[in-house]
Amino acid sequence: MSFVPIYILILGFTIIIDYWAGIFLEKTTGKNRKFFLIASLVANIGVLSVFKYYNFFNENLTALLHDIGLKNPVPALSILLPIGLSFHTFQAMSYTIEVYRGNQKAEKNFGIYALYVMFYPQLVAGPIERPQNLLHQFYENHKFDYERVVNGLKLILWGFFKKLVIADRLALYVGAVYNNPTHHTGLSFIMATIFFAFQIYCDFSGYSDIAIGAAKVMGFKLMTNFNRPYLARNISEFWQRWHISLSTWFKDYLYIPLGGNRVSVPRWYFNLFFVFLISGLWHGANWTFIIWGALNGFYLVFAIVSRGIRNRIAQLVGLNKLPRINRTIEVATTFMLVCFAWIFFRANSLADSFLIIKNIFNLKGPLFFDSADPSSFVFSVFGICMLLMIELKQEYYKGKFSLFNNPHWLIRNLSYAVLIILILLIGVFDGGQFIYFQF
Amino acid sequence: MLFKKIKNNQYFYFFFKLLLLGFIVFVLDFSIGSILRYYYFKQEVGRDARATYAIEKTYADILIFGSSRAYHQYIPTIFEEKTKQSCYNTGSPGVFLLHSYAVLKAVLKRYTPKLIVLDINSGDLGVERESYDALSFLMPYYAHHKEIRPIVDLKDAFERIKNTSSIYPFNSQIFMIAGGNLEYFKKRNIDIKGYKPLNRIWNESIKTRDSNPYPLDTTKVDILKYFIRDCKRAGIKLVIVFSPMYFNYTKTEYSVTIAKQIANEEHICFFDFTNDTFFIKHPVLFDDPTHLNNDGAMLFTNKIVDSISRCVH
Repeated sequence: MSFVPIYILILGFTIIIDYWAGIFLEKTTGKNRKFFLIASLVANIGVLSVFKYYNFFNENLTALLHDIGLKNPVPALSILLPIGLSFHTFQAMSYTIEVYRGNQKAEKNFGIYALYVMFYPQLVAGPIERPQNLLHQFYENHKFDYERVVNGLKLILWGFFKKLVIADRLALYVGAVYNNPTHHTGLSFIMATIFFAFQIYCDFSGYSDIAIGAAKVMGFKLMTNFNRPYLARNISEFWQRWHISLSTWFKDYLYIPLGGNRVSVPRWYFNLFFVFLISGLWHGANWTFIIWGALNGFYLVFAIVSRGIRNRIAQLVGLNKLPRINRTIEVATTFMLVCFAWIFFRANSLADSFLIIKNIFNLKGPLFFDSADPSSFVFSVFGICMLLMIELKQEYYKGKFSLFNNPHWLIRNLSYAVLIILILLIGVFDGGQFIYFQF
Repeated sequence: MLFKKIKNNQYFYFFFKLLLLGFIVFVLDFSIGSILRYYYFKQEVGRDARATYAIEKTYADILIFGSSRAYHQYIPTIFEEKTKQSCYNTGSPGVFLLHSYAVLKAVLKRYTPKLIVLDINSGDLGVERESYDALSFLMPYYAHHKEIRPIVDLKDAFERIKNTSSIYPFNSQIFMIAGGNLEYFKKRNIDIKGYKPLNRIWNESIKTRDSNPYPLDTTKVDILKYFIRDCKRAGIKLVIVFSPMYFNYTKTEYSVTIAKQIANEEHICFFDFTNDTFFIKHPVLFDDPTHLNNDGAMLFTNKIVDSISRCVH
């Protein structure tokens, strides 16, 4: 990560464009409204395209031309990807779209609008907010509220735990395997992929918890971004629980404008697939992300197509009479499908991801275990177990066995204290950064 | 009555609860940290025990500094036999130049050795994060060794704040500390004056390594200069060595080239074993391409002691 102060001008540019676009959108009628909306979208997508996608498309064009014996005359750009660009661009776009749709009044105060785009807790990695939820909160008087502040601090603490104790610990194992795929075999790939599933979840949801918690302490309510996604029973439910602010963004501003499910069946499947393809591209300018998105789109379409057959099989086997077992099988299957897609997300290149998939079923080799630091593996498993216990409790035993909200002050305080002690004792403090900052 | 008053005022109540939580955290942190500290310094063998011996106990005339390549390649008993002076190998796996300099600082606070051998590694002066992260191994000494703090602080801007915790210096080490106190591990981790032999025989063909220049970490270059300066000031004879590797280098590794330049400027003996024909013709002397096995270490130590004797006299 580099610090380039001049890059603040990029943010300044889109803020000025969108601020004026919002005002003109409100003032004008007819065709001109569309013009201002398109101007704003072009500016935002243009910035994103230049900084995030230009070199990717140019590299692919170079490779394509090279294959047919031609040289690409267009030079590559030597630029860095500004941190969190995809997040604040999408947040800014949601503002102009909502003003265009008449759901949101244009913001007259430039400072307030700039704050909406740059609100520091969620500037770099979301949640991607909507103007209807956030803008009005900047005008409200935020008084000190004990419960709210304490809940915010609790969320921050839990976010730090997820990030430092689980995500960054798992990153050590995942990195060792995924960065050297030629040195590993099936068992290690399976373990590293499962670890990555929890790493990316704890990394990203940990950041979201910190962001939402920090905003809460100051009196602001940001939208929920994660809702125990690995307990989802199907892919559709997974996407209702994972990165909710992005999923709903794509639903509101791409899927529904494309016609959603109120179109012919083939077109509906196309809409679903296309939205996930774009979602993959949003995550990164690399074929690995595009395939990851396409794979998720395929899962969703396949789930719809095969719903009848799956229900019939469940009836035949008698699973519909065993709801707990049925639910466990569904959750486990969804988790495995998600994990398989994560291979593309994490692999350093498309070639690496195919190599991993090719070797993942070769279970003959040993499980990679860092003999120089065996405790790291134990801490990883401990972290995942603790997370699962807490999430299973939250999902299925609401109100029971509560530690952090226990009515007894000593148990409550001891629980927070133990969380802090665990962070100090087994958290990873060396050099990690949030994965989603790169998007 | 007082509690009721506090409870009625949201601010007071919040700070009261914060203080209460702070107190519980402090008690737990202090208690667990003290237990970990006790058992950490009670270890008799292993990486931590050797670090404690190097930093707080040794009075050896000759000290060897470096990473795993020092730890597995320099045999102190050979130094002792040939020079009739005591010797200890402070080398440790996974540590780099920054770590060596911190240990040197701690040593110089107590006494002045007569000779220091610094084993430099390929990439030692390059830009990478690992050598800063490896300073974590020195965290248990942070509280009582002021002299190493400026070096450990290079790891992170908040290191000083984090070290106010009693647990943090032993972060992620709970199993290592437990293992270091178990008889089973004590028997497995025995070293000979800081040297641990490797016993495998390498039987793969030699690989070629390019050594193009790469960006240098100016802090590390400065640390190498400080290492030389401090030894000179204390009147210690210093020797820098790039020990053998089972690689065909297209030219001298870049960090080694820079270290050699600095050594020449400072009139320090430098022994470069890059592409040393004797070693690269005998893979049986290696455990892996970057470490000699015990046979190799014996030959190498004999060779280097003779070379050092010729150079420093």
